[in-house]
Amino acid sequence: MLPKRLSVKIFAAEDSKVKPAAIMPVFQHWIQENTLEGLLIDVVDYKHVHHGPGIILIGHEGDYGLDFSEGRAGLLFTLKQNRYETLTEAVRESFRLAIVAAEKLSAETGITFNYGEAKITVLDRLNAPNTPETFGTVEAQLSNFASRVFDGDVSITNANADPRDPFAVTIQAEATPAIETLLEKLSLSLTSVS
Amino acid sequence: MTTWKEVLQDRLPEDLAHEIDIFEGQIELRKQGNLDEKVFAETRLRRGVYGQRYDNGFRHDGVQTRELNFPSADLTKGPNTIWDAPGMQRIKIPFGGLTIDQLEVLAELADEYSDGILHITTRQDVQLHYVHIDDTPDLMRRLASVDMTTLEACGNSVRNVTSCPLSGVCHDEQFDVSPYSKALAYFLLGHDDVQDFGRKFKIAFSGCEQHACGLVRMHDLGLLARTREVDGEIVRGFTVFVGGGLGTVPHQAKVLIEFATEAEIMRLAQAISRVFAAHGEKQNRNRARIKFLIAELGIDEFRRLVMEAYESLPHDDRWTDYIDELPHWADQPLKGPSQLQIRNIPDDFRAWYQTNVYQQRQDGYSTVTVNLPLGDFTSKQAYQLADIARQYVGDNIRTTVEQNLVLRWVSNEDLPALFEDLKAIGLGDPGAGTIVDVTSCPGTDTCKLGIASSRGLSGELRTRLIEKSANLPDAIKDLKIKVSGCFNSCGQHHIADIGFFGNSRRKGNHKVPHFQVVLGGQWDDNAGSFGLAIGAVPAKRIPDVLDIITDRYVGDRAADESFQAWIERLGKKEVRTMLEPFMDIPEFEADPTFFSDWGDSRIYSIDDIGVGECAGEVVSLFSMEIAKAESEHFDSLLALDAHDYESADEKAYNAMLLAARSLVRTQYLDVGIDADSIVEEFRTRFYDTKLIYDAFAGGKFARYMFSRHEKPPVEATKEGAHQLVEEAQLFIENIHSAEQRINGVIVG
Repeated sequence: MLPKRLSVKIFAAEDSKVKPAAIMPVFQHWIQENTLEGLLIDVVDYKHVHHGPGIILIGHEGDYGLDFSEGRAGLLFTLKQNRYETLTEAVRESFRLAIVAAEKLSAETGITFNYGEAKITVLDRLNAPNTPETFGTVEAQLSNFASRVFDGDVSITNANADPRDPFAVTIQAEATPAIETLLEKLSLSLTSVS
Repeated sequence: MTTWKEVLQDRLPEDLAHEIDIFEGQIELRKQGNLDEKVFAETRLRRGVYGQRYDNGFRHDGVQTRELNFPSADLTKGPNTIWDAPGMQRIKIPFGGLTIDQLEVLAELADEYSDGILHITTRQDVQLHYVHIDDTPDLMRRLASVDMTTLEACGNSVRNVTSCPLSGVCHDEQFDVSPYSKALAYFLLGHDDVQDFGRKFKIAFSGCEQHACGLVRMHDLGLLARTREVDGEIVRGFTVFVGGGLGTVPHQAKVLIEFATEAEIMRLAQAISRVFAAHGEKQNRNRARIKFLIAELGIDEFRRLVMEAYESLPHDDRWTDYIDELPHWADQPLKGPSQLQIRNIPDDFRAWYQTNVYQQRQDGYSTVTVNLPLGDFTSKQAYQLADIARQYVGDNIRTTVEQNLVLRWVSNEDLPALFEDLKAIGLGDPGAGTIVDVTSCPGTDTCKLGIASSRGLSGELRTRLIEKSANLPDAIKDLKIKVSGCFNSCGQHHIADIGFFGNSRRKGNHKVPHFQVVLGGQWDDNAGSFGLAIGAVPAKRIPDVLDIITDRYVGDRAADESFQAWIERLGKKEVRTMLEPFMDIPEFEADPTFFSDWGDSRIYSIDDIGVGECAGEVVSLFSMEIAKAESEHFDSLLALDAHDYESADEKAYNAMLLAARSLVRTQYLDVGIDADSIVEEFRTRFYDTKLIYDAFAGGKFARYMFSRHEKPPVEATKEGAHQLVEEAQLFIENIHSAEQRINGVIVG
């Protein structure tokens, strides 16, 4: 299964103080300074929407957002132009881009993130309907991916109970490697990750 | 890989499916460089596929204008509009009527093609932003699978037909105008007589005169429900208004006909359309709305032309067919009527009930307004609203021109539970239709024409007003605030008590975002009068301006004096004096915050303003129609590649008919779609007269079409289909050449 779009959300640590109004200037100067990979286009403000996408840095290949869906703040990267050959490659790269952005946001705002938990949402109901069959199809692939990237036990659970919602899984790791190690593992193609 | 086209092929209305296939073909033709960019721009606009800010490939980042290097490079989807640049998709919601299924599909599309947000517009449409054009055909198919369309949502055609969201449940209405607005919307959708306008055309229905909801006096065509007694029977009809509009200079509509019966309004709308197409301005887009035509001709001459066209129209059963369906039109309440029974009413419920609940004329039922901040809600909230609708009201959902949703036919005893459910999903805010419920167009957030951040200002005003809403004086609670990002009035600032529209001023070497303050517009009486522009104030001082105006009104007003009457009594000079202290701009060094807009940390610039697409591209009717023939021909090539020879033959033949029709319609609009009629008219007008003749080939290419028309193949073969596809190509080229010779028009 190769989806058209997917997103990876890394959650802010529970004790992290998140002020949406402070994010807009950060994203604006990221555009000025080409801080992130890919073409960055604009910033959009949805902080007035309850449990919404917050502030989004719109890009061409993907969007970065400080997202508040389900009432939990987190860094959300949405891959919009999927040019990868496998689901796991798309997830790996999206994960990496999300972590890079989260680290930069953390440095500028003090928001801290918990890299041991991530929500992967497949925004493609045609190729990935939110069904047990889809979960069965991707569980092994994502499990394999997660066990290569994280330390210790990793669990993968279906994250959206409502069949109308896009298919999503939550990855939870018992232990998270140091950020440098994590990024190094994510920077390598999966076949070369030991 | 499976496609949405395959999955949905049995669920799409045939006409919409074909329309979408044509558009998909045109996308491919444009990518290959075989379709002119102006023609493509207009064809996508007529499918609601609209440009967004920065789609010319440049954006000012607060320091300098930067080039946005989209991968599509030189490929454009219109003049100065980069292919890969994100765009907006507008979706028509005729009369605002939504079903649960439709709401759920909209949620899917927001998730998969947009940014997870659905936006309700001031014309009851839904908009999705940041959509890639390559995704639009599948997006349209998914909409069509639940009977929704984007067709003619933008461009120079009939926009969404709006209607009062309380139609059918209102205490004051003459009758429910919903079925009439739906019938007219679908009658004119794709109609031949609305394809050759110089600008857009907006229609609205209202059930009553005194209240605002339909706003018929600010529309190109407004229909106000009336009844008359004829021979002891009550007859339904409408007062027909024409030539209203907001825009830069607002116009009040004029009465075209005092009373047109329900049997006459479809034909009348067609006749008005025909007159607008024939006599309206086509080149100067600033004077191309019908209001300018009426101003130029005078209402009496315009009426004469309309009645002349009315009499000359070929008969169409659809003018009156819909009347047979009217007796069957009725909302279906999900539950029986009941009375509200509640002890110890919580304060939050009381506040919500006062502003968001309308007691229907049907005893035991209410209409509930779901207050959407700036018209936005998430895809998740859309699903949750669908669940709430399923539990309480069924398909009785409507969008409103104040950028909210209403749930109709709520059984009164359900109101407390419904309120709790709405609160749980963050949509239980009170204040619908009051001063806190600020309306805003997209402004500089996404619109290419935006000068100042209407959404940024609206969000700021909303936040401040909500903070003090408990202590707001009663006199100002029901005032309306409406904000536009520029003078084009999409936020409807002219008909608000307090309106603002974006402009800019210069201080030293810097531009400063401003808003022009417009006071005293009238929402009631169907947009009964327009406000007065008082003066431009720096954007950052607008909250202070709002405070001073409202405080002064509360203190000065005579008993029961309306805001409009108070503004009129004060006079423009005095009101301006009140605002002048707020008009000064500090030096940049003294307060740089004045030099950024609301909700935007960049130093303000107007360098991002582009060419708007509201006006569409001025493209001739012929260019638009021949483009469809070319798309059909492209599909015939695809069918040939797929070894589907029967389909290839059929599509090549259709391409020839469409090409012939496009030329016939330059002389004879009413040729219709019957193949025999098209061929006969074409033969008489262009073949027998030798107008179609090529200098070398004579009438050979036309005879290709005659031959296929007279002798369709018994069995489609590879060779036969291949030959016809080639012939169709030659015939289309022949039509192009003839049209240039005859009309001297290539494009535009």
